Amino acid sequence: MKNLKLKAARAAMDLSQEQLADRCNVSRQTISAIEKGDYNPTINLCIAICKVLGKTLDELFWDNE
Amino acid sequence: MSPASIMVLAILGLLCAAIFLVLISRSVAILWADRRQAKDEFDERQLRVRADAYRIGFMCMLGSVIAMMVLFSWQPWVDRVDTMVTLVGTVMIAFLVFAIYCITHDAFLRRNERASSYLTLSIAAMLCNLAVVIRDLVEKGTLFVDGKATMTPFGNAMMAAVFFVVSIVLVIKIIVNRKEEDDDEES
Repeated sequence: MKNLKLKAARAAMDLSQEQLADRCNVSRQTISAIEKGDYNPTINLCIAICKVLGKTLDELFWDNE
Repeated sequence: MSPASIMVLAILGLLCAAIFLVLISRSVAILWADRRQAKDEFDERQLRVRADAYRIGFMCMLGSVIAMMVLFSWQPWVDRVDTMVTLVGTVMIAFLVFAIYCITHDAFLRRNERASSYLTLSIAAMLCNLAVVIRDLVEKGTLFVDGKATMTPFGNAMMAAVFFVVSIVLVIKIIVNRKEEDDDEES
């Protein structure tokens, strides 16, 4: 399932996948895979992404449906 | 040997020396970059993909070994193919499967590593092996020694084919990744 919330939060901060990946110490392809829903990140990476984007884990990774 | 053949061999020799120098310098550059950027290792997704790739490569090698045992019991194969060629062939199959799996799943390069460095290495390795094949074709007109496939030049032809496939997959992946980056910047 695609993670549109992550993509939206990244776009809101005007960050490219490459820039977000650099700040989280992962490859661009890993961010792309998370956004496409092809990869489930570990909790450590989720926290790193949340810190960079200034969001909580619930806001980015919790599925409300 | 005719003067034309000697000229072709001399050019091939010079080409090989140049490629060898490029190969060595690129290897040193990659190793140096590795030391400098020690913190830039594979990320968690890449490590998981590489674990899968090692497993699949290992299984392919096991399959190849079983196939090799069957081939070794078949006399026409033993008569026509050197043992070393078969052994190296099994390793090459495992390497090819591992490399293609990693490249297609974006787990071949560490962070901040450039695909072009590995592409240069792969093309150089292919050309070095191809030079040996061409030399033998020019000299003897065949890839077989006394009707048997041996490491030189048949093994070289095999390795050239492997590095050719790796280069092609790398080029395709570089193009796909560039397109993805452009799409991301546009959206």
